[in-house]
Amino acid sequence: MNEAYPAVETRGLWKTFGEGDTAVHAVHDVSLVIEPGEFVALCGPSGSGKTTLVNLIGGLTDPTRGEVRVDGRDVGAMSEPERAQLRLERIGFVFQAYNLLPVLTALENAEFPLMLRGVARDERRQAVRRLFHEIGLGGLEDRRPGALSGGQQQRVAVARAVLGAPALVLADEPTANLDTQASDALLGIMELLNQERNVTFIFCTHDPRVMRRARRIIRLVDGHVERDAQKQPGTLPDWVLAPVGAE
Amino acid sequence: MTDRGFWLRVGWRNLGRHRRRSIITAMALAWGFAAVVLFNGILEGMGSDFVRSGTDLMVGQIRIQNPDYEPERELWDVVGGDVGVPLAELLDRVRSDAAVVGAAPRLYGAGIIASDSTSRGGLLMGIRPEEERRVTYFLDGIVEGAAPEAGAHQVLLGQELARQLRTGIGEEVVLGAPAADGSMGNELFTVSGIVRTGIPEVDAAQVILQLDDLQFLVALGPDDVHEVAMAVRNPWDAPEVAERLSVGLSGLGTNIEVEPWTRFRPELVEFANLIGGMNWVILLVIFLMAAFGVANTMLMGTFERRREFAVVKALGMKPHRIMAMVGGEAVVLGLLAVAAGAVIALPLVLWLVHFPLDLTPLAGEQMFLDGLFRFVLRVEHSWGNPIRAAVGLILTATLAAIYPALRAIQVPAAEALAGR
Repeated sequence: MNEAYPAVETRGLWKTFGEGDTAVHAVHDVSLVIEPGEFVALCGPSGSGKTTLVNLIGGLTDPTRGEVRVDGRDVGAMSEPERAQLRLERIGFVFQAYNLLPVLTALENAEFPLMLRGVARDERRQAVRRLFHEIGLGGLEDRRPGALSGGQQQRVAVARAVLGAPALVLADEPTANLDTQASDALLGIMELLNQERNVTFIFCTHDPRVMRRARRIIRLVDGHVERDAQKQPGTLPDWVLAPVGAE
Repeated sequence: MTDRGFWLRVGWRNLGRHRRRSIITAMALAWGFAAVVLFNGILEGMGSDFVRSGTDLMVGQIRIQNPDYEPERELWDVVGGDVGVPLAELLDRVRSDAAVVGAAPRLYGAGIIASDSTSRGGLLMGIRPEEERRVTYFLDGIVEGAAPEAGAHQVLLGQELARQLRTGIGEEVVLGAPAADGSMGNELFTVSGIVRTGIPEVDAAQVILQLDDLQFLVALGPDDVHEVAMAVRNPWDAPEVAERLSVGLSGLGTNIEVEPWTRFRPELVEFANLIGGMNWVILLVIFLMAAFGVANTMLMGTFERRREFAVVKALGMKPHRIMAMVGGEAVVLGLLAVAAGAVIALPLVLWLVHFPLDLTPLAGEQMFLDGLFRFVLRVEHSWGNPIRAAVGLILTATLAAIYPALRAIQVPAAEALAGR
């Protein structure tokens, strides 16, 4: 991550689906600055625009208005191959539904971005095996996703997201399908990466365990930022889980 | 694991996800491949048979003539012209070429042939029967008697000519022909045999006699011939062999022209080209059908895997790599189809190469381009044909995958990840 720039910066960001009377503003004038190394939880009720905001940051969809900058680079102004290159080099994705490629083994899934980067086979496999060992996936390298538990699949997905040492990891409900033990293990891995490698994490989440570990919480309501606050890890302010309009 | 190997492996595994659909598509392609290989082989065999029937029956595949002989066919325009050429040496030289199977000297003339009861105009052809048999097979058409023997003053008559002359084996006929010295040659001959070539003009007029008998009749020397006809191992090598012989014979005299069948029977070349064109049309039609099958399969796969394409886009896969991933699947499908198609086609091709199916009893013999054509289902085996078909099939499969691949790279990642 280039420390001279924020990890993520959005200015007057809008994303509107549909037109006229049926238009829905999924993201509504969002301006944010997220610095390198932050551990941020995006929370809010379903439909509040968390996933859309993450997709905008990752360049997976175009803003209707406004600007997204990752590492100082205007994502909206990039061509599709340039965005792909940005994602490949700088961004790791972790999805709620794991989204491992079913025809690849756990090891092949994890090494996939490294292969796209042209990293030599031995080098990338060594890196995968080392990380698998660290996150409790040792011995499962040759299993296809269908032969792994939900927790194991999500750990493979995390390995895939972080193996290339990205500056930013966008995680959309990463613990939604995991039990408590698996969630804690996964979050522990992410915290470690955040602290040791200064990787910026942005989570979309409903999970209080994630929010508790975050050092900054941004609450979205109806597509706009209702509250954005730093906090101490391990704490969970009341407003985070309060019903909309309760404050 | 190289990238290329990786994409082929991914292609293989993706095809395995819908095994039945992949097998059905691959089998459709395989049958297309087998059909192309078989039809092309049969057409090539037919083309070769046409060429052979158009050259082997009477004219040969290479000929040596005086360049002035055609089209007037004057009696004195013999090979080597006025100076002449040592015939034995000429024959030795052409026979020493490994590609030449046989060489037969010939002399032609026109005259009157008279039997006890009537007379007819005749086309006289002087040959050496044993040498002629190594070049052409019209003597195989002798239906009665035998070819004329040396020193026996014998003639072989076309079947229709013999009928019109009301003559037969052992009977005497008189040949009268204008000679090269301006005189009129007359000789008495005995009918040694009756021949049926299947070519009506030949059977109604041909009078075949020993070369030296005709040379004597028309007052020409023992080295004077109008033509040396040759057969070569592969008719398609004739132009190359003719050029080689032309150089080899250049020191032997003037007025020696060596021509391959492709020059003196250009209509056969056109027909062979037509066959080649038909091969391409068959290739195109069958592979066009195959292309739709592949495109359909790949398109279904693309729709079913929208989320996966969105994931790989999110992971930073560039559009051209996504196209390569889909293309890899098509290449694997094509390779499978080629393998299965080879298993289907190979036994049939080998069978028809070694045991041609003779359909003459059903279809009869046909005159075509001055050749007697027999309907024999024979496959001309060449590696070029299946290799061309295999490359065509894999190329077709790959091209057919372009549209599905374009659809794959256009998958809106955010929507697809959300299941929309």
